Amino acid sequence: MLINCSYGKEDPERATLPAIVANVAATADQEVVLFLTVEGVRLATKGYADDIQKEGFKPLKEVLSSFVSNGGQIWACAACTTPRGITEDDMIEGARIMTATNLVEYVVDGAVTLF
Amino acid sequence: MRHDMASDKTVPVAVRVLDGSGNVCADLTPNIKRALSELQPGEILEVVSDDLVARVSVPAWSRLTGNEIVETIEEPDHRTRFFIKHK
Repeated sequence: MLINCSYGKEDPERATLPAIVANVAATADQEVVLFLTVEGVRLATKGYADDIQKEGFKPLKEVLSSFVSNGGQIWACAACTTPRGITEDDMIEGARIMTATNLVEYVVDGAVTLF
Repeated sequence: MRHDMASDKTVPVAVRVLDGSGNVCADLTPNIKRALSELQPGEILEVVSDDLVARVSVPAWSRLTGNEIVETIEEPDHRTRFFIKHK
């Protein structure tokens, strides 16, 4: 599965919900990529998600940590990280910078997408 | 094949070099496609990139399109040279 998130802390609910779905999938033993775009790429950077929590949801940092520990992968789109000055050195554990071509390959290989 | 002085390696002979320096990831692979389409099957295109993520995007493009990367040279400062054979 490939699940997209394009929001950062400007919208905590939209930033959190894709990660929750991704974590549900990963904890159901599914292979999942959380693909981050636009401001969502900041979620993959160290410390950024620490204070994001939408009322009624678990803290996003906790959700992302659970997702990664259950085998989930976090991909931050390079077209969005580059103009924001984000590099591999900024990535949290389990996250890496990937490209549109990698996204296409993952989908062509059969991933179900949730955008 | 030829001896490449810069890398001190033996590399394929490329009929054309695409300098992708400054290309962001979303521009590089379309530019590779365009450049490669001007070659004959079996000919080699050398692609030079200074974008570190090219080391994941170009191999992915190669797998998707079937245009084989026959040699890769990783150089300092995120620079990479790909030798791609037109299928």
